[in-house]
Amino acid sequence: MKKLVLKNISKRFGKVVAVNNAELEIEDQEFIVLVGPSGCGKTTTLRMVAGLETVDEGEIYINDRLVNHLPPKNRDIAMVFQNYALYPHMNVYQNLAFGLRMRKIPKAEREPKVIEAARILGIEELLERKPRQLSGGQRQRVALGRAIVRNPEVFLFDEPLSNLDAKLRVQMRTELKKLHKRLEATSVYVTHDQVEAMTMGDRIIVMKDGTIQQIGSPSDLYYKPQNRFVAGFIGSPTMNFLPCRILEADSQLYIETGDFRLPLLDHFADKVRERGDSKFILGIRPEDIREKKSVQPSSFGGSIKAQINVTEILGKEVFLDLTTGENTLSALISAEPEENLGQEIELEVNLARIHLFSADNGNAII
Amino acid sequence: MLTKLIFEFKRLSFRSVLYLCGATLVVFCGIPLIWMLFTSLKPLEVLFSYPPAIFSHYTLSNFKRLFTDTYFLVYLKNSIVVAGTTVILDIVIATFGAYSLTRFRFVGKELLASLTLFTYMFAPIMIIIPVYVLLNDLGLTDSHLGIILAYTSISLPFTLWLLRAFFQSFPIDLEEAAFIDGANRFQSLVWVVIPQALPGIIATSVFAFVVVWNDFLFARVLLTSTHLKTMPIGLQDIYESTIVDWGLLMSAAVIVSIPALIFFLTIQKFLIKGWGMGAVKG
Repeated sequence: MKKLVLKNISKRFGKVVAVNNAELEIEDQEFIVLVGPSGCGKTTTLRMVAGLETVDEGEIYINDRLVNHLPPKNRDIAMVFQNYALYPHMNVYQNLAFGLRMRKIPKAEREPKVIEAARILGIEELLERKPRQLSGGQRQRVALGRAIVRNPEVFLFDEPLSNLDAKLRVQMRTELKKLHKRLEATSVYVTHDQVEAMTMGDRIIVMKDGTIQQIGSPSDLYYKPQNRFVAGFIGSPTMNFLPCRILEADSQLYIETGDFRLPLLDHFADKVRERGDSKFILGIRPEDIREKKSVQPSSFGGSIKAQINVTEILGKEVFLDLTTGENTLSALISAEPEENLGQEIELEVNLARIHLFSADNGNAII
Repeated sequence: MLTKLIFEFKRLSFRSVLYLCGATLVVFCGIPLIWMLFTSLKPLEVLFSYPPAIFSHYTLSNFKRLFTDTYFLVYLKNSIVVAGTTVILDIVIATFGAYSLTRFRFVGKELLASLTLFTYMFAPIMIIIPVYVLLNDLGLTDSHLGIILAYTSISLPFTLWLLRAFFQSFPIDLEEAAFIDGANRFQSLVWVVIPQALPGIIATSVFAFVVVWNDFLFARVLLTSTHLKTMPIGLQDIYESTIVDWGLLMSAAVIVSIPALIFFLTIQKFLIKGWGMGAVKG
């Protein structure tokens, strides 16, 4: 069953188009993440679903019911805000119970629901406290509790973890995911953090300038980005982009960047030939580059000679910032290279994982 | 060591000067009040004796005469009724008005907000005649309703402006959270916004109360019947009807001060919080 459907919705603020013709179908119990840079329209989309913004064009359905003109209270949704938005003058119990009280649920029924929500989130001993007496993580739990206590049709999360410190954020990420499994609730989660998106979403929607760029599973977005923006936005460190041309020699196609040349695998070659263009943008993820001296047989090939600018040891991997002629390149390799800073290193590329984008519109070709 | 001593000396001298200034200010403001209290507790005969009899001849006779021989209690009751009703009316209207000025989008919103403050720039003496004519046409002169409406209209622009600043600094997320939680706009106002804005509302109500409680001009022009008069003009009547009975007058002044004093002491906590809030964010 489709739980939440957005049909060609648009939103303008004056002349600025915040959301442009967004189309989306969310299944029951799905965890959807809306991700994109600031100002991409993700929060506006969420707020339109919540009923906090009006929809200029298009339709929103929750459980097959058109909700465009319903106030937030009649949409049966719950929302967790970035800054928690706990009522400062109420204690935790009153904060949790407020939604039930507004919905005229009798006091006797309210109490077990509040206690249950508090139990799930481990905040039973905080019920008497005021929000200002809680830590960031505890406030976050109360905000979550306020959402789950009503058992709504759809949960909306507006960057709920961005105010927490890095460690707590990772912990809460896992907890949120567990909570989602447990409650089997349909969730729409907004974040600008691609790591959060990749780790939490069943499906991810990448937005830019009000337009949906791609909808897909985390691995779809990572391995098959539909355009240069998605390729650059998903993945850390960011994908390397190099302008390139396609050359043919001895019926073999090559990608020529000016600094190095990579052979194009046969199954990619057909797609490139179909295009007929010769100018492209080459995309290589840093983790698809390794030192030439690695001997395991694989789809790695080609040869890039690059100068090492910076070496960062990340633990299991080593990050290299490199220069190849006119371009800079980043690589994640498995061990610290023997070469020193400023020296030249020879690298190869996983040819099965390279990406080519149209130089005109940035759309993916392979 | 020496620098530490110098630093300590400077710190102490700064503090001493500060406290000295504070003490001077307290004495300056306090002496007339203390003298008022003394005078109210002395019989007429010893009021002008020299040297002043500070530690003897205390009596409550002035207060007794005030309550029995004058209309003081009537004036007091009128003042409380008029000031109380005005404050309630003022705050209710200003709360809704300020809320709508900060939360709804409509054409001319900013202009409207500025114009309300503009009306406050006219001195009361300038508007008293038009107000009188208006109320006279409505048949509301010499009535509590008339003076309450007049007071509300003169204090409303400023209270509206003050509350607008409070509401502007109020995070809209909390209201949105209330909407999502199932509240309508009125419920979110009552359950979430007003409890938060309470320091601001109280600070504003103090302002309105003080304006009304102390007003002489409007009461003098609009009220003529003795049984309707408020304290400031009532006091003047006592003053006029006696051959400057200082004891009686001062005992009346003491009683006039008490409600204001109690009011300020009780809401002092909120007042400071509210002023601070307005100062930083408004």
